[in-house]
Amino acid sequence: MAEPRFSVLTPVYETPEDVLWAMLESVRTQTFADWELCLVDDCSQDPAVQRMLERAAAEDPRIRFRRREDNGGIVPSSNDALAMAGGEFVALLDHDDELHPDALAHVHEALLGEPEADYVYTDEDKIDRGGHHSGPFLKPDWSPERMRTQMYTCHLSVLRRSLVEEVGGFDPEFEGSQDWDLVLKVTERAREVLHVPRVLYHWRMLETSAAGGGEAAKPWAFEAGKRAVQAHCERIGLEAEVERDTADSGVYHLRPRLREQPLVSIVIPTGGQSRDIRYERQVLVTHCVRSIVERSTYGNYEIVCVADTSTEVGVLRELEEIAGERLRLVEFDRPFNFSEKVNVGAVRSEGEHLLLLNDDIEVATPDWIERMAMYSSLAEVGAVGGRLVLQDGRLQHVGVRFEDGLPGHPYHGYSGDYKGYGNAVLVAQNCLAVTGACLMTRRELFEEVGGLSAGFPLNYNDVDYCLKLRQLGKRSVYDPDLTMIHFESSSRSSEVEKWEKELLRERWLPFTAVDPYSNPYLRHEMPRLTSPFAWARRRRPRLRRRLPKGQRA
Amino acid sequence: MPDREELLRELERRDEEILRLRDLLLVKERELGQALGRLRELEDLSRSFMALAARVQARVPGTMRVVGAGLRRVQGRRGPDGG
Repeated sequence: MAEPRFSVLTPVYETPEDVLWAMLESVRTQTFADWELCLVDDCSQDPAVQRMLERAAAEDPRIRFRRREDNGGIVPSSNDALAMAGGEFVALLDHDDELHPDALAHVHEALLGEPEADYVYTDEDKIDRGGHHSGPFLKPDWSPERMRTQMYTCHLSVLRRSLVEEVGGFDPEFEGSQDWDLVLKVTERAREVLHVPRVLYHWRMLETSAAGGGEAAKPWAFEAGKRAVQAHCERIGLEAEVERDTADSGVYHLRPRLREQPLVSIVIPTGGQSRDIRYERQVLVTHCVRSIVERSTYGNYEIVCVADTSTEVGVLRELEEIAGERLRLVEFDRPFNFSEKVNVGAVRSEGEHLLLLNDDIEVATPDWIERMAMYSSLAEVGAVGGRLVLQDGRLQHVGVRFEDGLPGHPYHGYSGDYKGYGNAVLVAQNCLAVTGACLMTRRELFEEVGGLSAGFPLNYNDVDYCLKLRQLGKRSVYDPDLTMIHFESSSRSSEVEKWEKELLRERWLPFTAVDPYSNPYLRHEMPRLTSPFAWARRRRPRLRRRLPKGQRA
Repeated sequence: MPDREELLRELERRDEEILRLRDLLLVKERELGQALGRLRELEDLSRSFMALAARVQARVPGTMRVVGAGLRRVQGRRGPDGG
């Protein structure tokens, strides 16, 4: 028998009859027929399980069944199923879940379009015992940084079998999160990762499953997840310690453990403006610099203040008092152009990393520089930003999202404890851009792309910069664990001019028309209300093509 | 004429009062921020529903009138007490 396209791997253990039948049926009714189903019964005590599986195998030659002689757990069963597999790709299906009838067809289509893809994942939702759907998880395209803080790709995962075997299959050390470990290992080597933005997997909510019972159902799984991510960080040289979120069991955080501290140049353009901060009149830049000096734990940084010639001498003296030898004052005597100011500051600095900072920012997280440097040191990362909040604690920036080719701040003005769709506010992730109010980038990249474009003198220069980096193949990262307070747009009006929008669109629309880190079925980062109709829509059967007039018989 | 000591004490008292009020304001500002944030969330959700309703209305004119009439009939049957 020729090698099938997909081998569906399903370890089975004490599955309730009705859900087992539903799982089997969901594979049997796939519109794409070139699959095999590799079932491994991990020595279930319920004879009905074995009966159902044997019968399924007897009725369909594509279904293969093996019963283990002893109960080894999910990892040995999964590896047994892998050993049975002969397909080009393996698809992971849990014994109590269901596939959408077109799941394999959509994945197959995606692979035809990208033959070098080694890993494909889809969107998913939850399904209860009665078959009612809820809780769709509409995912972004491939986001390596998100993958380290949340197993977001989860179901349906389809991996190239040769690569799975190359990394050694499922690792018993990470039982409970063996899928996550496997995906991390495969994606470290994958040439291409694809996302199919359709709900093609239905995750059964049972009290005993993680979908239904959360951490209470499988507490060891979340600890295993932490270990899996830690091992991944060590393999790729990311200097971080993994921690679990105290409230959300599926969320993890990276704490930097830097071996070295390269020089970081904090470039702060300023005009010496004042405003009320916590009901006290303050000069923004002195408040900003004081918060850096008093709160930062990073040792090796310099502060480059690029000040307008109109800045009061008293302000400059106070800056020198606060920052001492760390301070470098640069005079800016040209007409206002934020990009030029930053570029001048960058030229006059010496750090390996540049940290662009608005003067209306206050540092809140002591290891903010370490966190940014941890990501900025990765070769594939171009820019790093953090979580900015307003004075009253509401969210101001959690990464930039594009809609219709224009950037926006999702959840702007939402309460500070808002988690975001799919915990998007809580997890590290990739974005097309991060705000220049607090942005770290490597000097070599800054110079390679020519710094900030002077063509954007006020707005969008940060977005333009991040997109230039993306053009080079570099990612932008949002780190939720570094928080800054942003006294937003205290210095200048934030109203974006029409010409700025047109220029941005003209320059970048091919990149920004569709934001890969959002989802086609999300609007303002919430599921579109009409999306369930789209998900329920089945593939139309191929219609007979009508030949043009001259070619008809 | 109050003496210097008295004036300094009064100044100190007023400074303390300013700090106390400022702290109180900051706490209230945070609480207000939470409420404003929740309001923004609900406003965005409501906008989504309105946009959906407008799209439905555009495709099937009179839909909102029919839905509204149905709702009014149900409310009429229920009576003022909802019973």
